[in-house]
Amino acid sequence: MSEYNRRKFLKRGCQAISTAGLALGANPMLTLARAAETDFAASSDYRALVCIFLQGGSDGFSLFVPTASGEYQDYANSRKALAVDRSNLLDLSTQSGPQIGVHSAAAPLQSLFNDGKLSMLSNVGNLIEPTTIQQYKDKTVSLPAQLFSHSDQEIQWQQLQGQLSSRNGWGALASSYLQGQQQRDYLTSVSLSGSNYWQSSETLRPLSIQSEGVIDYAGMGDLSSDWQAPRREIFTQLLRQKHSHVLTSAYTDLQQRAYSITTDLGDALTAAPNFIASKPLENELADQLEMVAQLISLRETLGMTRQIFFVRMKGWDVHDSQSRDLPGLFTQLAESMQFFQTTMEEIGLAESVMAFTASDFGRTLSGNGDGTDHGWGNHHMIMGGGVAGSEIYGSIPRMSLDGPDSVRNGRVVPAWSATQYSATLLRWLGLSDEMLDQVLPDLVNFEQRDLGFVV
Amino acid sequence: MIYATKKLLPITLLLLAGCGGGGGSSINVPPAVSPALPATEVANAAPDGPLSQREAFRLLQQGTFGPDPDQIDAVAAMGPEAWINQQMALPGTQLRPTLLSGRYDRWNEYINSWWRIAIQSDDQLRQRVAFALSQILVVSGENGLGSEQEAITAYYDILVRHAFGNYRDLLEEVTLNPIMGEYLSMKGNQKPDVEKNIRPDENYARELLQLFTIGLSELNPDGTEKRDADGIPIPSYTQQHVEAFAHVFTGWHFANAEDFRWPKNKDFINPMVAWPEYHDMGEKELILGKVLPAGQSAEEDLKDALDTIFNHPNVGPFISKQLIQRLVTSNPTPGYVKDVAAVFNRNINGERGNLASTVKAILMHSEARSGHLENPNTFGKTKEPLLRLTQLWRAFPPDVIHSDFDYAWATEELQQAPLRSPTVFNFFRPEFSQPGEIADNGLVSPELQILDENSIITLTSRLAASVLWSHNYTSNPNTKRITINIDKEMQLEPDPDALIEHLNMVLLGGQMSEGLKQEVKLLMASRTNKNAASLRVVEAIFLIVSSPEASVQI
Repeated sequence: MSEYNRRKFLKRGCQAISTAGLALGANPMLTLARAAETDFAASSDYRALVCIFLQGGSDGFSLFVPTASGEYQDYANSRKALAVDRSNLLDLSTQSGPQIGVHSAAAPLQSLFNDGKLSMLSNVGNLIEPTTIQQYKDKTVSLPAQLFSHSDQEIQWQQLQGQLSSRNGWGALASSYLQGQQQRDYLTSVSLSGSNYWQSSETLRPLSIQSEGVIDYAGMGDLSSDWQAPRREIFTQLLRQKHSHVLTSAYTDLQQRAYSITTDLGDALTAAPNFIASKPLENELADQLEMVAQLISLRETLGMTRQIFFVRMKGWDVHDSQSRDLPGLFTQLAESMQFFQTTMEEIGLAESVMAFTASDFGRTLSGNGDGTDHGWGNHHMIMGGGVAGSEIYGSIPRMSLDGPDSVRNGRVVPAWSATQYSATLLRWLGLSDEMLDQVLPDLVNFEQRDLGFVV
Repeated sequence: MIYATKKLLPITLLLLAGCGGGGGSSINVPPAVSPALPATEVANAAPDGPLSQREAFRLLQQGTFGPDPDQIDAVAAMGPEAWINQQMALPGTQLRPTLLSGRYDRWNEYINSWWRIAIQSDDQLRQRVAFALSQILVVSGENGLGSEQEAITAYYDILVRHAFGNYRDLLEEVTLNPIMGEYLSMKGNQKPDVEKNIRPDENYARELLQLFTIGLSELNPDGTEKRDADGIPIPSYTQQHVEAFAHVFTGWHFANAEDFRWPKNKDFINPMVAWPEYHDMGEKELILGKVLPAGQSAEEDLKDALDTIFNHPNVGPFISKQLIQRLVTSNPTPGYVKDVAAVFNRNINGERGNLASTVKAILMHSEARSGHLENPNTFGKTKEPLLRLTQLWRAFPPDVIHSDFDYAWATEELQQAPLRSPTVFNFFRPEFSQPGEIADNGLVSPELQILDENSIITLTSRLAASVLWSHNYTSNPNTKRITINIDKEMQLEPDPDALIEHLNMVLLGGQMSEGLKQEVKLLMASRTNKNAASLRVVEAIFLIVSSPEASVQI
């Protein structure tokens, strides 16, 4: 008998993993705070946040356009050839707010908005503290580092940790409060678009899943195959070896985690429903959101009460051919959001799930010929049953070039900080004021800690 | 009789086998350097002289797409400097002719052409450096440019040609390349038009500064960030500077354009040409106090602007450190960066930006040659997924690469393919740090940014498929895949210990742990059916190449 046979195969590889062992660790700084009384700890209800990140700097000023004559004229004067024509704007019905039209390529947003499932947040962006035009010009205010740079503004939006560089995303810091209450802590923070800064911290990375779900290891994934068994057993046995090299050790941890999760989650996902809602075709964002919806539908089986999800749509950096490219992007975004909302209604969870958009920055009011450049403030959206819908929160900035609300060729200074936006979302998710101050260190700089878009 | 299975190799495979990679002289460029410059121009150079097999393996891991087992002994005898000189004297294999001699009617065939060269070409060091440069001076076929595959390969050949040339020349050719012009929208960028509220496009100006030359913050000569009194990094340029450079890069379009706004003629290969009427003639206040006077032509402005940027003190440490990270180690000591940057700043001939001297300094520095002995737990880098595959295919070189070969969709499985980055910020950032032990120790691990629970499975699965089902003892090798040649291993197979020692050297440079050896033996022993010799060989190979030990270049 070979040495191999004497050791015997473990049944199903690393099945015995404890879910706690899958987390990359917890932030010790926060462990104490987590033990504090929380609103959600004892709660059995479910809540999830879905971040729809528009990679590259979305042009919210082409998606939502003021329609009152004076305001539209300001906008048209600034954007010139890039201005969206009045005839391409669909009116949003608000109670008393400003007159705004949504781009006709994003028609589904109009019905979501008018049906009370969606609201718009006007002119939000990265700020360290409240910032006026005058303060910006006089340099009497702390500003985010490297404004108008993609990587920096994307990272800062997803981290919100002040001026100094940081490794902590606000999603990861929030999830470190939540994961202790979850049956499978590794599912607290899930990315459908790989690595991101929002869900990464000194101690955490998100679980990465692709739109198709969990995938098997070729040549090892078939648990019923006797032929694959020795290979699988020895492959996983190797992962138990300790390595003194930090890179080897990190790779080992990741492989072990991947193997365990594939086995654990793969089984569960076979029970995921097919939604009646028809999914937009050839739409990667919709594919990602469908997997989010399936995971949410399994929340009880998986033992989850709080989750955050990250999905990403690319292609928004329209330095060129903006008028040609933006409508298609708007359509994909709007159809995906509508699809996702419909799936949540199908499983009766619309009240429990809130989706929100975020992006590197807004775009300049001035053009560069056939596109726009990196701006600052931007319009964003929140969607779900928990949203006080059919509203436009905040006043619409004046669109005149370097008028009262913009600097440097039409870079709009945000009226609200992404920090306030995030605080409002996280409060809805169940974080206490003390936790919010831990997660969002600049929040103390702002008087208004809640932007009021939650029911 | 264990060799019998080899007869199953269908003869048709040999007959069908068409184009090789590298090959013919028509697709080569002459070497860029002669005569070779001495390695001693870098401070703290390692002593030259014969190497052990292990040391030769390390050198080949750093300077090639994977050690060729047949060359380990030769390189060991030559020593590092002679090997580097020999590599630099080889003519360069170009990607565009390789594409055009292959099946360029296929989608993303340029990626297949790249694989061929990476696996088969002799000018490995030049190719490895060109690939590293393609991760700094990024263009990508990912968003719409994929249909211009001939032009994309022409862009890559700029990197191949200048890999041992001068960084200033490289910058100018990259700046005027129409693929770059399209990717970062300098092509068609025009002077301000107050009437229409049009101002110059800032895209190329910003990324040229941030990613291609000086980076966001002022650097010390050793690559560390300078800090102000409050400990905050000092920006190396401002938004005003970006706007000034945006004005510099106005007035360029396709060489054959008949109209500046919407040309029908689109020459994506030859350098862009200036259109004086679209160039901004105003004064421009650049970095370092440099002011370009009003009235300069597009060509004069561009030349002066590139000279200004190129002479910024950040360029040496900024580029040197990233090249070190791509070739040798994720976490070089400041001293290593400083020594290499000093060579970049001024080589023995007084030249600034000489890449041959810089690359040689990187590989000859004592930290490259023996840093793993001083810092055994942190030195080296996680191998990029693409290099896991090239290393496998170079360790068991296929007799031929069939003309059907197609792995153009590598991005889906590896999160990486040449000239296929998702954004101008490359596949991963140089400062990415994996949470846990790595972050806790203040270290970075760029390549781990694209490895997650999903992509580590697709990578492992591709390794499995490439070994277990794609070797020359399978009865029906798939002509779309690389068929690894395991003849040598089949000869050793009757003696498992000898086979394992052989694989230890060709795959891990003799560093295999006892634990891994034991598991390989167990797995081989578990395959006891008749005619299982080739299976035992490939099981052993798969277990090693998929192991954590194989994920790191020490």
